[in-house]
Amino acid sequence: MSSYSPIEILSNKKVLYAEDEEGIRENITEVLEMFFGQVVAVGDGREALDEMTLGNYDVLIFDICMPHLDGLEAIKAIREEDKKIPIIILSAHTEKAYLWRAVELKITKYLTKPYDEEALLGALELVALELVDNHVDVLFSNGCIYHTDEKTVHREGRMQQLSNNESRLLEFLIQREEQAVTFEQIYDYMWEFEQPSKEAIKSIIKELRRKIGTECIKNIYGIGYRIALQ
Amino acid sequence: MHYSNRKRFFSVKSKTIILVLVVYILLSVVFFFIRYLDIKDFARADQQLKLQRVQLVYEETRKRIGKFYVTRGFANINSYGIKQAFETKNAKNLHRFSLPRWQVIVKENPYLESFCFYDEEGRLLTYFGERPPDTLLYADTHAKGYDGFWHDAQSFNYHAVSVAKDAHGQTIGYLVFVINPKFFLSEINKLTNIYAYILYQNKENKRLVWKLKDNPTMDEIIVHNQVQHLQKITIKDTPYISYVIEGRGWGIKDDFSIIFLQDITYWKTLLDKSIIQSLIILLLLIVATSLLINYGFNVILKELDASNKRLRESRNELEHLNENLQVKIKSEIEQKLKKEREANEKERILVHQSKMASMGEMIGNIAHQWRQPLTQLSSILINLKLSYDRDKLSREKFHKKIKESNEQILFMSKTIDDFRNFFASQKHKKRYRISSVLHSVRKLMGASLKNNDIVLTIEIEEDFEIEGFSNEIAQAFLNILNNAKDILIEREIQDANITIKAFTQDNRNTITIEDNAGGIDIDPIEKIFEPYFSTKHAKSGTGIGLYMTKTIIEKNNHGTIEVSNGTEGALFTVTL
Ligand SMILES: Nc1ncnc2c1ncn2[C@@H]1O[C@H](COP(=O)(O)OP(=O)(O)OP(=O)(O)O)[C@@H](O)[C@H]1O
Repeated sequence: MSSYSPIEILSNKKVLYAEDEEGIRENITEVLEMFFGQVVAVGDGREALDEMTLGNYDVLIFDICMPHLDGLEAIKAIREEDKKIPIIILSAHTEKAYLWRAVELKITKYLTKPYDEEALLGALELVALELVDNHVDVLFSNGCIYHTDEKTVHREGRMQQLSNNESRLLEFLIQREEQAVTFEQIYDYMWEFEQPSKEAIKSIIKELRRKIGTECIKNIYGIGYRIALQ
Repeated sequence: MHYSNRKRFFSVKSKTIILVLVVYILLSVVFFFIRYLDIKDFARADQQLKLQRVQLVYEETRKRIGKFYVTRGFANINSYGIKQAFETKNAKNLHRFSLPRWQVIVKENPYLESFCFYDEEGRLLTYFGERPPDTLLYADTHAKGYDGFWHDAQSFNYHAVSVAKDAHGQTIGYLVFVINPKFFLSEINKLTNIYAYILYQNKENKRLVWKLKDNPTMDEIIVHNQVQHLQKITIKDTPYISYVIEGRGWGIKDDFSIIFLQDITYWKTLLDKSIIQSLIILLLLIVATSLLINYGFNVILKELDASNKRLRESRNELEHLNENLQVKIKSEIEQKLKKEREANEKERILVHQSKMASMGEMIGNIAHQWRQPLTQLSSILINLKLSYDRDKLSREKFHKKIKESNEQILFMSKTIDDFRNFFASQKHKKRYRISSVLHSVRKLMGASLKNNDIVLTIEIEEDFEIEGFSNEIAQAFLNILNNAKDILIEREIQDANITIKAFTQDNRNTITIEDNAGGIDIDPIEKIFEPYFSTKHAKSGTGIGLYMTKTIIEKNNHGTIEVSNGTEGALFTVTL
């Protein structure tokens, strides 16, 4: 078993962090950068919503009290589009009303300010586990195992490290194991601004198939791909 | 006390009765005396009058009778044969010619004693009636006709004398009518109703008495008394008053007195009657008065007793009342003190509660103020630790983080100072600008409002100066702001905002605080200023925030505070 912490799952993930207090934002961003693949920090709810339209975030960490649009309102808007994305709230509010509203919004963790390292890391770990549906190790149909924390694949006694893009795409497919994932979805998730070709996706898929086994990633013609787990 | 009182009252009663009676008697005596004098005076006046009348009647009678008989005499003298008879001293003819006349005259007057003729020498020629004296002693002394009382040793009569004269004026004789003195008595009796008698006392102290009727009592007077004029004589219980008329005879020796006795029983009885009347009246009055006084005193005594009793009762009552009053006053005072104490206690509790409440609110605010730097500090610590763990903590980063931390700690300590300053009770009034208060309010509330996404706008149109306790005023505003904040959060108001405006209107320093939470739904709206009025129930509300606010503004700083509902929410208007 690996000695990695589930928090490592986040290392290829992108987080949107919204906090209006600059001093806090700077420090927390620095902290988040130690765990996430990419951290985007914004100063208020409206900016956060704008940022969300550009997509491809894996985790949201929001403060409630922010100018223009408060965190909860922003989350409410986001939840209308995306029911699954894990969210952490970092708030100065301790009032129950806020907690209740947070419950409705299916918040992974509600942290009250000021929080300590343990609380913060605990929340991050929760989020990480949620992202992999509590399965740190994923077993494929051919018996191959993927360690989400280490981002490595064990296949027939061999261990192979996955690149950032590879693990990102693989985990994206794993999260949607029951369904066919379209090329558009993959584009949106994998790239923000540049418009990559189908070839770029195909090359990553090709590499993944090489490491895990071709049979584990099925081609759905004209639509996209589907993962085959055990 | 009652008994002795009664005794004393008794003696007072008898004393009073006696005194009143004495006064009564004295008064009565005086009255009686006056009445007596009156009657006496009246009697005297009456007697004087009577005397005058008696005198008058006597004089008149004398004149009348004198004139009458003298005229008669002359008429007789001048009638046929009389003069010749006189001249010739023919007694027979005189008698003969005069007889018819005598017969007429004697019928006219029963007191006519005799009708006599004397010659010029005074010798009796003839006569009718009683026998007259033989000689007319005064004949030569009187030349013309006269009249008067005449007496000699035996008789005392009234003589009306006519002198008969011849053609040469020579006296030829006298014609005399002799009239009994009783005639006067009868005339006086007729005219004055007084009985009289005539007492003649001559030189030899010989008395001759004429009286109309036999009257033994009078006889007695006559016998025993030297009667004087206006003398009161009482005989056999009958009082008389005497009137003495000194009559003059032909000479001094012939003087006499006519004594009239008036029965004054009438006056005496009048006097007696008046005395008796007075006495009876006096007696009646005394009895009536005694009875009255006695009755009055009894009534008074009764009344006194009753009022004494009442007095005693009321005194007892009074004493009782006094005692009660004292007790009452004492208990009332105690109660009042207790109430005051309670009120003070209540006030104290209120103040305390309000202090606690604002403390609580302040601590809430501090928490808000601190949450940010605390969060930042914790973020820094987390950052430092994780960086260190990953060997990513550079020297520069470490120092930067330390500096950042110090800044936050400084900010926190400054916040504490702000609040401490705010809570430090201000001893003296001072002048301050409204902006300074509002800015310190913003400083204290800022974080809390911001954390709750409430925008606080402060518009200072006129930065007026006020004298007073700025801390208290700040607390008053904080209470209003806290309420607005609470309601904005509770009602989940979008774009929540609170606007404070400072300006002067009608020379008054005015501050308005308006929120957009939708207003106060309480009727009457002023109820929110009552202590312990709160709609926050089990939640944080104690309901004294606005009460304290009002107290601070109106009592301690002589301002006013009003509340109304504006277009978007509650509008508090404070004037200072
Ligand atoms: N701005 C406002 N808008 C609407 N209602 C208000 C406003 N301010 C006060 N109220 C009403 O007035 C009531 C009385 O306020 P008050 O400050 O006296 O007590 P409280 O706020 O309930 O308790 P505490 O003083 O402990 O905060 C409140 O409960 C609230 O219902």
